[in-house]
Amino acid sequence: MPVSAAEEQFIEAGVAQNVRIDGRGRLEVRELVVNTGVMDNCYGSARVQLGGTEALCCITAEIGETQCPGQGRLEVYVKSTPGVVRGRDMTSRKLLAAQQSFNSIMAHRLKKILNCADPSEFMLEKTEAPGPAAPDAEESDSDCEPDEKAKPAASELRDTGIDYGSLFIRDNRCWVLSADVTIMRNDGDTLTAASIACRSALLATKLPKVIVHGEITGDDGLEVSGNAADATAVPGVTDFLPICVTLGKLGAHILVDPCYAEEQCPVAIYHVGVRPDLLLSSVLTSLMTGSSHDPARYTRPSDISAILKASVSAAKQLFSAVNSQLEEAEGDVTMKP
Amino acid sequence: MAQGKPVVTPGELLTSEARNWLHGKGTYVDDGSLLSSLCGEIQMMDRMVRVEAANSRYVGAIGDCVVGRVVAVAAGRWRVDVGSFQDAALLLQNVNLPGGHLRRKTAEDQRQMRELFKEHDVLSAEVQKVSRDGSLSLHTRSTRYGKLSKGTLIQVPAVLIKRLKTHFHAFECGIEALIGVNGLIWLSPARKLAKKGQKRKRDDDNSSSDEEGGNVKDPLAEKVEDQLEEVREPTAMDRMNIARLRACALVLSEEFLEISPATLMDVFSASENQSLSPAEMLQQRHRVCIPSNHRGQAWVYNRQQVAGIVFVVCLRRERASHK
Repeated sequence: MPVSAAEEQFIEAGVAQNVRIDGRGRLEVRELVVNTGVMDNCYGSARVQLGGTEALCCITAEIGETQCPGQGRLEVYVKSTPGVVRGRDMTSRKLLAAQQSFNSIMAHRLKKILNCADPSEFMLEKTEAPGPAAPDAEESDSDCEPDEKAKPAASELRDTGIDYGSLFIRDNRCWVLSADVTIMRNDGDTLTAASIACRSALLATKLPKVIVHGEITGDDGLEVSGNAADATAVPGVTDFLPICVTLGKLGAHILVDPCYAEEQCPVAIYHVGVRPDLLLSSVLTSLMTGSSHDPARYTRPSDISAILKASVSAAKQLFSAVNSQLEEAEGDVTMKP
Repeated sequence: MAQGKPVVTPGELLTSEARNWLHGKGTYVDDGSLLSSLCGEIQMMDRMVRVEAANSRYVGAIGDCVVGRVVAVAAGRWRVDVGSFQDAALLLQNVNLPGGHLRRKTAEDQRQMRELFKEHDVLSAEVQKVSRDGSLSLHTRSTRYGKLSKGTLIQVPAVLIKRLKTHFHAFECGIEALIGVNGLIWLSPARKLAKKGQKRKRDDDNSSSDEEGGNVKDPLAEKVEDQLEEVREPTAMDRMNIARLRACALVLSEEFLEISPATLMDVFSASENQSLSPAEMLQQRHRVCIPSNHRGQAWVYNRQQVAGIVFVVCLRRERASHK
């Protein structure tokens, strides 16, 4: 629900004084709670609470047809519960349309962050910077020339994230992972919560072993082992799969992990994909919500490096929170008889 | 009468002889028996039985002080969202216009309505009347009410807020809380009472202006009991206190405990004693720090399991009391 001019002023002045409405500093991230293994009917699942924002991710896997030769893939679907997209004085049809557009935009952005976009997309639209960029780069290449050759471009872009080559089985069969993300509560910064949920769920996912009988062709020659001990983790997740860090430029200041009220102010939102080794993988930006004629609000090239530096510090906080909780959870598991 | 149980669920039998009792709100008759239609407490007064919902949207009553957000500007009125089942109406004639003059309902005034309250503005008002369908009519005919600025809004369940004598509370830390009965709370730096003879700046500017159409001085505007200063610009210390009070209100609302100046102060001082920052207060792991004693009365936090469904009910005092 949009905020009044008075509340906007209060929020902005608070950001300038480094005391946000919930008492955080500008570069402080909210409390992160991660629980894995919450759903039984899928290979991996995780529930993430980032302050008041909650996201759930379930990973299912099946053997399907390859789209890109020699590689498996990750598909992302997003849905949200009622109340995530808030509409006032909207007809139910409009609200439904708003929800659907929210879901599809989230899925699109999540795919870009997790680096699992469809290779055919790169033929038509501009790409993000291939490969990791150093954190103190002055400017990030968020706009490159579209690459005409699909095959080499696809493999170049795949060095961040899941190792899709290892998901390949044989001929045109591969593992197709589906990440079903549900946004349960929205108090701002849903993309970060969703990306952390995806990564945590993938960390907890164990793919069963596929025994290939070379003599038998087609699907009959593939045997999925029921032995739990043979299951392997999805390669590339621990070291290379990025999470999203959301930053906002409100007035002259940069804040990290905006809450819902802050997102309603005229703030320019930046989503930065950061790898576990704190290298940047992608930058997405949203237009400023609400129009503004004040040139000071818009981002200058000099602001970009501050934004990227802030994203790295926030990512550090998020990764340490995730890792400590996952280690704790694993410790609990091993202690059970 | 299901007397032993203070809490009932929908469909639960209240009495099998409905005709001996007056049926209040929250009950219905089925085949001669009186059943509850809500989940909540039984309230009995003489021969009337009613069920008061444990959690529902705000139900207005005359004289309630509420905080609302303007949804739309219509002809001669504003539609205000107060968190009730319907939007409330604030008529132009019920608003204190600057200068304290009674304006005739000229076309100019209607066009200038947006200069008073725009869409999305937050304002405080009093409920003037409740119509049959439950929709509210508000008024801001006092300098205490009007557009709210330099502060932040919190939303909590309306049932947690008791109707007190006054809803403007100034805390020791220099923050003022306007606890609307409808569950919306506005926190801003405290205003001091203006010295005698010193009117508020806004009124001063317009009181001498002479409008066309013959204005009559509104006698009500002259005798205003509380001439308050304008809200001062919040400092960083103010903002921390506002953030802390905001966290207190959110913590109380998440645990479904009553929100009143006393309980807010309790949680506020407990958090300061434990040296928790407002951001930390909202975290789950610090939740045990809520004080369990309020002025010697025990806060009973009760989970009842009825028919396989868990209802979380807060009994505000040991005895299921009258309000």
